[in-house]
Amino acid sequence: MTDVRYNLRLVGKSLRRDPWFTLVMVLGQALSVSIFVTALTTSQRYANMTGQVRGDVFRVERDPNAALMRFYRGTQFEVFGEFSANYVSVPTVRALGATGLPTASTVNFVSVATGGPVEGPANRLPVRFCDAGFFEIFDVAFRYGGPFTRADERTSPPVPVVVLSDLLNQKLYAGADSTGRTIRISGRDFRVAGVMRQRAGKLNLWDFGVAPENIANVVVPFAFADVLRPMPVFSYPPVAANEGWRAIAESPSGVTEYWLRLPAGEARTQIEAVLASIGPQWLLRSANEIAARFSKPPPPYRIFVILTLVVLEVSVINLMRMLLAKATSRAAEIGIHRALGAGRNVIFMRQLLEGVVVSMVGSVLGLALAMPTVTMFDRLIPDLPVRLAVTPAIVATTLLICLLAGLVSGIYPAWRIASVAPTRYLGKI
Amino acid sequence: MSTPVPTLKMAKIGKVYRTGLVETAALEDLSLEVGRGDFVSLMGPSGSGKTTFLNIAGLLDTFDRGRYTLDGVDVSGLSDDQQSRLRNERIGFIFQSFNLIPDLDVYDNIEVPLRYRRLPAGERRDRVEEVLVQMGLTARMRHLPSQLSGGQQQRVAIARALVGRPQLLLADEPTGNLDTIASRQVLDLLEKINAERETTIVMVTHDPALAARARRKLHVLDGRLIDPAAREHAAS
Repeated sequence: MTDVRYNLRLVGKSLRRDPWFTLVMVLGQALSVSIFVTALTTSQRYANMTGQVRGDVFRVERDPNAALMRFYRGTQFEVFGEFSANYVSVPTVRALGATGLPTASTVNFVSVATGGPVEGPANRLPVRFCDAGFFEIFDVAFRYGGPFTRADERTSPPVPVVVLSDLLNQKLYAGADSTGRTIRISGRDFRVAGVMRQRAGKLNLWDFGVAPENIANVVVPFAFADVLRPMPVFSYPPVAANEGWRAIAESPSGVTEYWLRLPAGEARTQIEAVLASIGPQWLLRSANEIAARFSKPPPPYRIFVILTLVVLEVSVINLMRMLLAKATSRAAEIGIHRALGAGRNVIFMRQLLEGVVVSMVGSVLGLALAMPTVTMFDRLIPDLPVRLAVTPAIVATTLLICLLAGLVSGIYPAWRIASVAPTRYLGKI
Repeated sequence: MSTPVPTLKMAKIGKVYRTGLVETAALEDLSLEVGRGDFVSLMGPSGSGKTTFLNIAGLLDTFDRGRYTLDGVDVSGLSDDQQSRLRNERIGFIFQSFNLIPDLDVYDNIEVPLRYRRLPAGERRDRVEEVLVQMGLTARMRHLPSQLSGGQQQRVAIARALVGRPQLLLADEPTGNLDTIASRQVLDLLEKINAERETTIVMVTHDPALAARARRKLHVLDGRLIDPAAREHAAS
């Protein structure tokens, strides 16, 4: 430990001797790290959804419509084709709910209404309809207040309470605690029961939709659908806007996701039997399996990350050259240390430490530089469904990569300078 | 009664520098024995092999043939790490250009060899303070080398060489960059160290007046050692 402290002190003195050179080394590293962090942050938003829900949560799906998939295959809408398979009709939801088998279940669909805080003018207001089971199934964390409950839904008429997503609370109430405030939706007043907490820089499993409305919305009990008469943002086969909620709710068109918790294997089998009676294409897909589809970021983002890794690699090579130049300019001093008893391994380790210090300082500065860059990305692309955030996982990944980069960039100069005979430089200081 | 082990014993040491196809013999069959407490001066024209000898003696350079034992230890089979440890524990260097580390102050410069010996902090402090007092450098202990005169810098270098209490002190033109007064002071100091501590000193110099102050005077010519005393003895 004392050795490390002493070596760090000598490395610090060495770096301070030529501050501009050191600054160029650190800045070079910092810039490439900030680009890398920005790419990683952007890509990670769509990745790693595993662990959000327990293993006994399922979604009702069907095989993607073959004709639709053929139509979309090879186009940017291919995902959209698969996406349609996640939607079920309201009669199917009712049939499954009537079995009483799920310990919790929820519909989940988004609509757009008119409304907002009663104090202000009415605006376009994205609304998510779901059941109280939604908060239990997805183990939703709250920033303020709490969820609406099954009891709220079951009273007649249902208790007019809603929950705000973090992002909508930010928009409507500047992020303040809005519990107890009143929001008017399609002419009806609702009390805000709570504000959900958004995972930093990450999509939620239930948010993974195609529209920005998926993130910034007000969560309304499904029990109010008959009153608010929503027009789902997505439906397949499509339903016409003029059909009205009653017709939509009775049609076989898929308008909502349906999630269930089925802890018992027997209940699962029975639900599958019910699904089979509705149609052969219906199945239960486990939430873990759904999350696994998004274990990696989409290809364009992966390519972006790989490109920035190439930039980082170039910066490592550049750092290696600069460290070597710096070490050579300090060779006389290294010769003295050798004469005074420092072995090759001591010189090697100290030189390696210098590479790691430069790389780590550069990476910390790069992380700091990445914050405004990420914010700038957010502002340049306002329709991003979730705010980008440099999460602790990204910070840890970056620091680990930079530690490796520091070791890699330091090894060659360290080896070169440690293998030179001390007599070559003595007397030149 | 057993014969005391010589501090430095070289037998038929040869060293050749190779640059492409050109080979230059720096030392040829150099044999020398320096006993404990000796004060030896080494003179010779430029390129005669004095510095090569000093580098080999100080384990800073390797040799091609022959045998070298330092304080009874045969150095030829030692690893770099073992040589570094031996160098640190038994040899002190004094260079013509002082070779102080510019970023470190006087105290830290003197402490460097003790750091590599991994002595406890308290012992390091005691030893450094002791040599600071001996060299009259206590008031300058927080000065950087650039804030000192040439004579003071050389005293720091001597303090650094002595702090590890080496058996062998190798001095390469220790007064080469000093004025007359400072040169005399440095020589007085070396004589005192030699007398009081029984430290063996091998000093390379161009100056016959300085060489004359050593107890034993050697000459190197074309990589070979000439001992004037031995020659006179042979002539008589």
